[in-house]
Amino acid sequence: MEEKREYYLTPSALEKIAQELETLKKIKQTKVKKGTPQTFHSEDLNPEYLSFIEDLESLEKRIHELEEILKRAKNIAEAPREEGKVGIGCKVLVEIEGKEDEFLIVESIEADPSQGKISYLSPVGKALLGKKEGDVVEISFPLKLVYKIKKVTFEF
Amino acid sequence: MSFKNIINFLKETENLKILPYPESKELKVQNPSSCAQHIFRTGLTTWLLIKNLNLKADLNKVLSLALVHDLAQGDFPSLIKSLDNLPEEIRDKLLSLLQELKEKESLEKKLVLAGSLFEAYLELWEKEGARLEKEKVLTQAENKIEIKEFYQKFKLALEKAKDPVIEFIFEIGKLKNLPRRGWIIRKIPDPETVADHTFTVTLLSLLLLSNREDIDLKKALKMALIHEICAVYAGDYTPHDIFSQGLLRWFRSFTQKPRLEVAKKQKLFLQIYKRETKSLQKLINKLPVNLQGEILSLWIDFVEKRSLEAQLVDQLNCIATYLKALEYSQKYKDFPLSIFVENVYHFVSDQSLIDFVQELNSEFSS
Repeated sequence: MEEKREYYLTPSALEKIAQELETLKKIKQTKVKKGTPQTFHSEDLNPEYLSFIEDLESLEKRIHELEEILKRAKNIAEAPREEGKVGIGCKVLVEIEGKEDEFLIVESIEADPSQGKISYLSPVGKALLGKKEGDVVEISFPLKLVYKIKKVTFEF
Repeated sequence: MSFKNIINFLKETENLKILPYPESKELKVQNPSSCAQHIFRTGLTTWLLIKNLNLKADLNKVLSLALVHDLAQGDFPSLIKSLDNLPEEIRDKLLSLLQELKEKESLEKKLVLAGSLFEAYLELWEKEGARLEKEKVLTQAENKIEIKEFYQKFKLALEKAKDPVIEFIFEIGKLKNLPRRGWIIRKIPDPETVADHTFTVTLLSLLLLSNREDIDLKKALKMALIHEICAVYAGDYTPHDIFSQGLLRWFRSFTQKPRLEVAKKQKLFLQIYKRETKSLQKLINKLPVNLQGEILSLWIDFVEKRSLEAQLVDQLNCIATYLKALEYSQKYKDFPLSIFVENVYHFVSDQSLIDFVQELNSEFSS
């Protein structure tokens, strides 16, 4: 089980989580207000009842997950950082295979490499962490990948 | 946990993307789908019919049984042998599923076998309906499909009644024949299809997530099954299709990863998201509201990587592609493996999955 540490999230991620939580709470309220479907002789015989309970359980589980994240969430601007070094919240411009590429280093729960956001816990994220402009980072297995860090900016 | 034997098992399951499914022999289906393609549509069909018909069943068990049901019915000696070498917890889980399929008479087993036959008869009708006698097929199906409600749905399909669930099942069948574009552009002969790939992602979810207490396995399996269904109308695409402009860049980019600043990546992501959402809505908009709602919410969760299940299934999606890339790199000279190495090293952040990838690298390097 993951230790209970803080999450440093972007303002848009924080807003999304808060919005989802509010929506789910409203849905749960509506579901519960409508009342549980009638059961027959026993709950086990009524598929509608079981489906309702299943939905409610999923809803409650997700509400709990989001509440836990928000309890531990902080704005990414508060993430610990060292001036000029790659950390959470940094945009990193690299050169690889003669071309430039760019990533935003974020927490795993908001990572999406197709949007340029890579987790600091991914192999590339880990390799870049703590490095500065001019450093060369090499991943050698199974193939050699060489990233030359051209610029590090803190985005938040 | 040592992943070596899981990887060997996965290598053996690649044969399921070539071999025909066992039921096709009995039904005499000409040019049948592969086992993997059949399992993909069986899983989705059984789940949707259970929900649509308001049947009570343990869906976690149904989806797990659906994934392995052909192993119990077919003849796959080397696959069964590699199953015996899996880590104890995983091996015991799969053996228990196979035992249920072979020996027990649970409702979930009956539902899966009925779903499998439904899928098989549907394929028979799709491929040879023009030359077969409808009444003969219906009589045969009625005798074989044990769950009467499933048979009634099949009858509707043959009578061309307007049933949105049947129409949906027909449409997702297209993914059995849709080759993954990433392999086509790299000129891989006879590449795996979207349905084949979905099978691997779903199987990886069962193998690597079922013992995790922080995961709702049923949600992960459902998400894995539907994560590519928008390809029915949106088509399968690669980052190269979106990022490349101009013929020369287009040609060269197949061996190189597309590289852009973050803002442009996010803009393009939104374009793709819009296109895929449109395609998904076209696919599901006639389904009953409860099914629409569930599929849409699972898909949005997956694309936006909201839940832990979504984040992990997304990483397994990348790993499944990487596994296939490793195989192709061993078979075909000049295969641009580095793009896939970089992708998996960007996407995977869960430590147990990182360990799995490292083990994959060791296995394929030796």
